[in-house]
Amino acid sequence: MIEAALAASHAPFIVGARDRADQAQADRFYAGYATAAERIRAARPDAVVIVTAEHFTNFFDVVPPFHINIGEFASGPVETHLGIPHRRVPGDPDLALRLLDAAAEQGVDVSFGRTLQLDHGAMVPLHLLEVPEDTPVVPILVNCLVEPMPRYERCRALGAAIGSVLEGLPTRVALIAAGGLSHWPGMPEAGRISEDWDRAVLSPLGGGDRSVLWDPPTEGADAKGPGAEELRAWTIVGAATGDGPAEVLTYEPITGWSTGCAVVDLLPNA
Amino acid sequence: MHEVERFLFHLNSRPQLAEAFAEDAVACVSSWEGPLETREQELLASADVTGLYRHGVHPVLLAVAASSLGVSPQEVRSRLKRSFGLDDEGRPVGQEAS
Repeated sequence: MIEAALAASHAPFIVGARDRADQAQADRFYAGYATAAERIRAARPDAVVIVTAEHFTNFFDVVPPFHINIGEFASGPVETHLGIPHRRVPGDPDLALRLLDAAAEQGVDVSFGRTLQLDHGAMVPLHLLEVPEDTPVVPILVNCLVEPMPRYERCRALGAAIGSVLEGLPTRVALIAAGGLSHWPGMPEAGRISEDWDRAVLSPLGGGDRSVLWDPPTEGADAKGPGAEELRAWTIVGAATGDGPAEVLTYEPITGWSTGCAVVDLLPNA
Repeated sequence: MHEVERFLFHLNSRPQLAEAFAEDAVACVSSWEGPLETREQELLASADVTGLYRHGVHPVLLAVAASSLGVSPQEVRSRLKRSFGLDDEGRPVGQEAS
């Protein structure tokens, strides 16, 4: 069963450069993450499935659209500047294989492997959501970085497959989508944020309209930044969790962290 | 260009390569297994992150590999902004927020 589903920004500066943010904004954002952490805790998950973007940590010459770790563990974070201790993150091979099979049944082919390095994409949310270190985690990576990226309808299909298999399991699972919203990672424009685009995603979600996740706003799309492609992680988790209204726990356009920073509960009535 | 990116990816993922680069960047780059043009070798060996960006290296790859080049993520950001004349919010320096 899906007991919790969160979507959250994962910019490395959130933990690696806390003092770069406006303090009031940072406090509100951390408060949103703390609320989400409480909901994860209350969900008592047996396992966590985290969907996040690949950042050239594992793949370069070969770039899969989607990738699941079916190994006994993953390791991370690879970055030393985050201030998060490097560790082994236990996996859940049985659950991962079920997800892989479900995706294949739905016609979504996902690559898989038994070793995986985790970067800020997964480790920042796992850290701030206070997921216990002995909780098994199944990481799913999405190519949000280089063209051609998976189309949103494929992300939606993958999410639906994940949702269908999890709903039939006795295992208590928390889903996490990590990434977004608007940002220009690694570019001279870093620090620019498209608040309009971010709100064009968040407002419909809060009102119960998830179509924004499979058909993202095109208004101002050229001004959302390449980092907004990470919305695909939200699409997958959003499609796995049905049609209800989401709850925006926090949204802060934080220039110092170079990202439109949000934490959203995609299953607030769980 | 692809080879520059391939070097950076492996610099970030192979500790032995990063150690060799830290010890002698010029020797490390010139002995790289793939074909790098002279200009590309110079950009890499001098950790010229601005030059590498202008050369077309993917900005995320540059950001994640920068530490292995000996440049911190914040320094990369700062150098790129200076080079392109942009402020902390990505606007041209001196341009007021609307």
